[in-house]
Amino acid sequence: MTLPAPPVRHKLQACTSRFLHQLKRTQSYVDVVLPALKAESEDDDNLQYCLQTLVLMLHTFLEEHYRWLVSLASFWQTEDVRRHLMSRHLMSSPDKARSFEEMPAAQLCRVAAREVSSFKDNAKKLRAIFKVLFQCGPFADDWADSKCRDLVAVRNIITHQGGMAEESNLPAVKSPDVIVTSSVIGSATFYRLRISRAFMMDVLTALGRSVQAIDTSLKQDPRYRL
Amino acid sequence: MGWASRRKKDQQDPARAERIQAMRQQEAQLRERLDSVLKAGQELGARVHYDSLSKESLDRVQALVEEFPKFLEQRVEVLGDCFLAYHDLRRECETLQAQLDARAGRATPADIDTLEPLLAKLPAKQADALRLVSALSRLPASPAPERVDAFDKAEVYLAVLEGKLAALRKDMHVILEITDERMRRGWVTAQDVEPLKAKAEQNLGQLEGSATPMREMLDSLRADYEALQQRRQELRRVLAEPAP
Repeated sequence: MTLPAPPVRHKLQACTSRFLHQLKRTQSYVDVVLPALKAESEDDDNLQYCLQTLVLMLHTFLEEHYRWLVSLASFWQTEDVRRHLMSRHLMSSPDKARSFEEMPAAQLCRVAAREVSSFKDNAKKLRAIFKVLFQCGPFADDWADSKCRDLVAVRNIITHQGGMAEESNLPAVKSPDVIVTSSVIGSATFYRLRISRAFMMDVLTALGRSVQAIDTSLKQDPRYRL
Repeated sequence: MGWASRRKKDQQDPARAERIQAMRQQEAQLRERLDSVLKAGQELGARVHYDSLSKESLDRVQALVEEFPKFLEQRVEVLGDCFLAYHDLRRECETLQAQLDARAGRATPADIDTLEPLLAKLPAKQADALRLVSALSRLPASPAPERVDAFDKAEVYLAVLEGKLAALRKDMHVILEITDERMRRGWVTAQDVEPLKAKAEQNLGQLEGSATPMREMLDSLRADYEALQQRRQELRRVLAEPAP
């Protein structure tokens, strides 16, 4: 008979725990709020408002997770992070590149965490810092990658455009029926954001799978294994 | 100034190099400390994990041990029904045999109305035997209708008993394995746990011992019962034939 082994932990366990805590909070909120809305269709204004707030919160949790991961991992891999940041600024700003050598670890962690904030250019910076620090990428697979970037794109529409979708947003959101045609007047087409429950489920699955994939990778990574 | 020349200048600055060296050392010390704190946390997590596993098993063992005496008491009643079923069948066979003997002009043997041969099957020194005798003496003489499936009921009872014992055995092994794991990790010494382990193994042995005699007894009684059933069938067949 084999006893169930104690859970395997890693040096960045706090990050996974924190994200799971945030998901639990979200679950609790959803359980209370969604039934109270008594929405009869997904186009219900209050439901859309609620789903928009969920998008904002989930994006925050995702970003927070990546920031903590990168920040804490940087503490364990200061030399690799210094080299990475120096190489990034070597040509454009030699003084800045030089400063990383003398930068205290705590500050270095904060600077490295800033690499997460931008999901621009296909999350190029995020992927690069992940390559330095981890044996895996920020997303579990291509599907999760696409759904997480859709989350970011929808969040940007809410944050920067008050939730009003435009034609220019169309290429950024790959999930179908999230940006839908609102009306056509003459040659002008108007769009609106329509967050479905299916989209939210996909996003949550993608987030969960990505966090789990990172956690699994950290358990196997000798740099972070306890 | 380009990167290369800055680099060269930095390398020629011993104060800077020293500063960086000191900072790296500090960082390494911090990492070392944090590493040991995290490892202690991991060890604590493992302790909590094994404590919780152990507690779950202990709670189940406790619950089973508490209900065991009451459950074992039913054994007397269950086996008693089997004995009575056997006894009834035996009496029926004797009656049929007497009819056959009378028809053949042979003397009718004395009616066998004693439980002695049956009680001889019981382990003599077992307290259960005495309890069984007492239980049997209190039962009504006429067979109750449910005695027909007394053996089926006994099988069900025995299956439940064996299931409970299997669960108990499993939990006791979990507890013993956790004890070994605790010793391996150096949380307890062999001296601390050996008396407990010995007691647990002894208790387990005792409890397991409660099912084996019953199984043996039931199997033996069932074999005798089935032999009697065949004998009854044979007697009925002979009696149904016209008298010579």
